[in-house]
Amino acid sequence: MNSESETKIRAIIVDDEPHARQGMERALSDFSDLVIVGICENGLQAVKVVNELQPDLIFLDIQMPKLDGFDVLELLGDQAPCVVFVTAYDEYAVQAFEANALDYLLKPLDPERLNKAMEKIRERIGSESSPQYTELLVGRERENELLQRILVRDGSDVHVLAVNSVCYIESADDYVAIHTEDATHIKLDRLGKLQDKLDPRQFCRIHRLCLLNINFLSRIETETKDSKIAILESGKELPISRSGYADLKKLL
Amino acid sequence: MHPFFNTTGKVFFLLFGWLVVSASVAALISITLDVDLLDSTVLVMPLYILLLIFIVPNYYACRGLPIRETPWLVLLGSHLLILGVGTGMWMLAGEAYSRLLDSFVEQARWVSIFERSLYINLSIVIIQFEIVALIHYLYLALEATKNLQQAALKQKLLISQAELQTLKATVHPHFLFNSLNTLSNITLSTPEAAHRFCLLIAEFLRYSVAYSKKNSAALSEELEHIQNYLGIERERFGDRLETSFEIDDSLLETKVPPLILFPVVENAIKHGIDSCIEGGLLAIVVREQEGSLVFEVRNPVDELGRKLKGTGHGLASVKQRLKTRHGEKALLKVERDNGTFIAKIYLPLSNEEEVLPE
Repeated sequence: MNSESETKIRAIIVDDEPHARQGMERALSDFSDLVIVGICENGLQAVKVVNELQPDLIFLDIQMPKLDGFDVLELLGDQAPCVVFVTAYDEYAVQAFEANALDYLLKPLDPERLNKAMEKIRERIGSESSPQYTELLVGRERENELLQRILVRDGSDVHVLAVNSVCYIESADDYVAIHTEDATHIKLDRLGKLQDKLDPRQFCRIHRLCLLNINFLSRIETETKDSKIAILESGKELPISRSGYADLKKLL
Repeated sequence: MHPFFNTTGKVFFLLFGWLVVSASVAALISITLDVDLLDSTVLVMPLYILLLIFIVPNYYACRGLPIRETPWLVLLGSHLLILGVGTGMWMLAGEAYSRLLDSFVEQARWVSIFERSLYINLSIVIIQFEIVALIHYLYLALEATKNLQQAALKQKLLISQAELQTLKATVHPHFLFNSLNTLSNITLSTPEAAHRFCLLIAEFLRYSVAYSKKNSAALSEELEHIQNYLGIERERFGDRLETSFEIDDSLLETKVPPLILFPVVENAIKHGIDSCIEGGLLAIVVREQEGSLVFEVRNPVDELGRKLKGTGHGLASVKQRLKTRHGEKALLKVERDNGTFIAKIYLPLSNEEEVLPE
């Protein structure tokens, strides 16, 4: 890379449709101060590429398989660079972008709108103040019903865990450790926040630090008079607090 | 509620009729037996009101014994039985009533009038019983025709609603948006491809608009429509969409309800292929099986993929259309098997007319 490209905006394009990727690439080629450093076909690739290339800007399609644009944003967390959302018809998304004063483009691309968006982006990247995307995701979570899957990122790798395959979730500071039958995944999240999004008939807070999927519970043993232990089908033992036991009994 | 009594007008008409009949009978008895008109009237009037009460419930018997479906022996036997019991009870009531009347006066005469006029009364009562039964049957027949017409109208309405739904689903705004985007991109990159793409969309829309109003289409036409649709989606999906067809050629001319197969294919794209990162194979098979045409669509589905809103709406409307058209003889079956989604439509192959009013 020469010194000139250092000052250019390094962008990636994320879209699942080949023609759309080409169209965006073509439209962006008009901007001499922007260089496309990566083109991704889906959300998984996008997370990987952002992690590896640390671009300044993503043109992020909303409707994509498996991980949509919002999922990508959630997984990137604080690592998310400047984002320009691209959507064809998602009414809800457009409302959310408007409400949060975020940049978005509609498909088919209007060159004039793209020009305006680029002007804003130059300002934003120059000022170093990254916009807040969390608001956007909070609004979206409210929209959704119970969580069916949990997204976890491990560096460049993304895991999509079915909620039903999660045995239990432990809390550790700002993280949660999600235990499935064959692996443990670390996610930057709060146990309480996660619990709110999971089915309360399936997940029980048996302890301040532990959320249990009762489908994996084998039996409950009494160790001493006041301390009980949950034995999972895998043989794993988890302590149950007094209030946790009350909740668990109610559920069973 | 008996249909002759459900409005006051009908009740008055009925009572007036009965008044005329009983007055005539009273007069007839008075003339033929040479008795006082007042005496015969006092005897006849209340008894014929009683007859009315006996005859009217006959309606329920008529309703329970529909002429067409009841064996004639059963029909005859039942009505003879009703007639026998009815007239018997009426005769006993008449005997009792005339005795009661006689007990009030010095000169007993009503029992003798009743007994002497029995042959007149009996023949009139029997005739009336049967006339009323006929009227009941006539009424029921009229009612049945009316109901049939209503049902036919209702079904027609249902079908047109389903048809409208199909049309709406076919030209779904998301589909139009997607196609428009693809088009806008290929117009710049490959103008020739853009022209071909426009032709596909035009064919597709033309068929959707024209055939949503038609009653039936040849399977070959439906398949061509589906091919056009897949051609459009192939542009959009690129390598992510693969298709395969396995068609029993002898079925190509079979008549099917128009646009009934399409929603299943659309569903396979929207909720199947588009849920998978790598996309996959959409396999269509048409074959004959036990007197049915089977249209089968197989596609991969990612259970952990992004869930689209409105899942299953298109399929629900297919189910409803199949039911209104063919009743139990057609059905839509869906199964999920380890990441594969299979939808099958069974259509009856017999030539018998559809239950479809024109």
